[in-house]
Amino acid sequence: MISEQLSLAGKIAMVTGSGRGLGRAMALAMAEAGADLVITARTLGEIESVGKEIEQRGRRAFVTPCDVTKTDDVESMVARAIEALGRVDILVNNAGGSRRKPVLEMTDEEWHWVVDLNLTSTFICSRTVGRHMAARKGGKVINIASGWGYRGLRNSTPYCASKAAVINFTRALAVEWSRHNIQVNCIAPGYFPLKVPRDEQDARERAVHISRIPLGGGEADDIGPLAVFLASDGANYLSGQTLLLDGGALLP
Amino acid sequence: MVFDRFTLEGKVAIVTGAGSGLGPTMALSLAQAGAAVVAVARTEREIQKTADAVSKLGKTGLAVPVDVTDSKAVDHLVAQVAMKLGSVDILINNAGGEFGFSKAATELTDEEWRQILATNLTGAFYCARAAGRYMLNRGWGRVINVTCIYGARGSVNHTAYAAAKGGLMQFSQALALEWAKRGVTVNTLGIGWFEDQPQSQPGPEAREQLKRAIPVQRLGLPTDVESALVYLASDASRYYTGQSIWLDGGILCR
Repeated sequence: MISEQLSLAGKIAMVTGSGRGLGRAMALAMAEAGADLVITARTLGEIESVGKEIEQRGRRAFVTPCDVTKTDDVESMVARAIEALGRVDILVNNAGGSRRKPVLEMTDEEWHWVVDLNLTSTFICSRTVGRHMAARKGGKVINIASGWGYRGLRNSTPYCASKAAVINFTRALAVEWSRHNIQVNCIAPGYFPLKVPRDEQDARERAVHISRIPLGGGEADDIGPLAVFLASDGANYLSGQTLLLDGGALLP
Repeated sequence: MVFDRFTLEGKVAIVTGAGSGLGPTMALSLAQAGAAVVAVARTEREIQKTADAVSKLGKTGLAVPVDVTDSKAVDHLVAQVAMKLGSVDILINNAGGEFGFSKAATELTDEEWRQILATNLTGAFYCARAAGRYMLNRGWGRVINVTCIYGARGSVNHTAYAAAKGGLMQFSQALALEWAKRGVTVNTLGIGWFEDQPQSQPGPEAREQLKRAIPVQRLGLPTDVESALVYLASDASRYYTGQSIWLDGGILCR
């Protein structure tokens, strides 16, 4: 049976930014595959409700708020999670975000806010959890980049730059941590229209965007199986790779 | 349930090059996930073993000897599979190899160049064209082209093989785009240095050197193939097309 290799039974997975969207979808899929979860994000209300969804699936959830751009916050969050669940076997660096602005109008603070949220947070969480994984001689890190780590988007330079950086951070960390038996891989999602459209114009623009993607828009269910595969023993011989889950958007 | 997305129950898979190397492992991985498997290669004796192993798992296993460089034989194979098993859902283009031609470009004959291109690239096109007609009609299909490190990176004395495998990767992307709107995804599975490959048997010292060049410090094992292949062959990868998954222990990140 295929599910033997893919099973996450007995594993503890930490997903940052898991209060909603793709982070929530990956956390729920990993719970279905048998993992217990550490659910963390800045907004407590959202992660509490995801925690309940994990428990409904018969798994344990440790819910704790954290700002992943702050070292002290991450270190105390990881310490609390390990105290509660014993260890962390799988880390998904999913927290991220963007603020659109032209370069000519952008302040240093605005640049650093986006780069810290996407790139530096990935480094801080990996370093903190990686110390425990290295001591235990094994683990899986899954970073989340974006299709915009490969191509340019207007008014989004820090987002595009930081996501491209996550892709090469993945390669460098994979080479560095192979000696600790930690596999580091990355998912670069394309367009997943998970939020409700703001208004009619937003809905129309989305429809145009989706019509240009060979496989249309992504659904939350599409990322779960890939995250489970990369987190499982089935991916023990994969490391340093970025898998572009974009419905073929970047092919033409 | 997330595991349900990986099931291949009710699917029919054709695996070329199914008699040797990682071919039998691929056939068995698909069967274990629920698929009926047609094992294809030139030599009947070897694929019969693969088909028997599939049958032992309680799945339909057929052995059909075909040379994938023979376009008519490939068309006949696919028609036969569709007739006997009802459909053609998954194609693994795994046939290929270098036939020991590690040769300087200046020494390579026309015939050797043609033979390597035919087996690794043209054969995959013939199989995809024939199987694709059935897949497009049914609105669901998976084509998985098997490539190797030479398809992504150059190597001394391997020009023909590198050109063929590199061509196969670009063929995959173009075909993915062509078939995306019709429910058929096309991806490549990249294979690094595995235990049972001829390239991995150069003697103990060279073998240790090869291992040191791989970030995870070991050669690949048959069990490393299973989950990636089933992910690509199943509904789990519905939104994934024109891409590669590399089972290379991290070689390509250095």
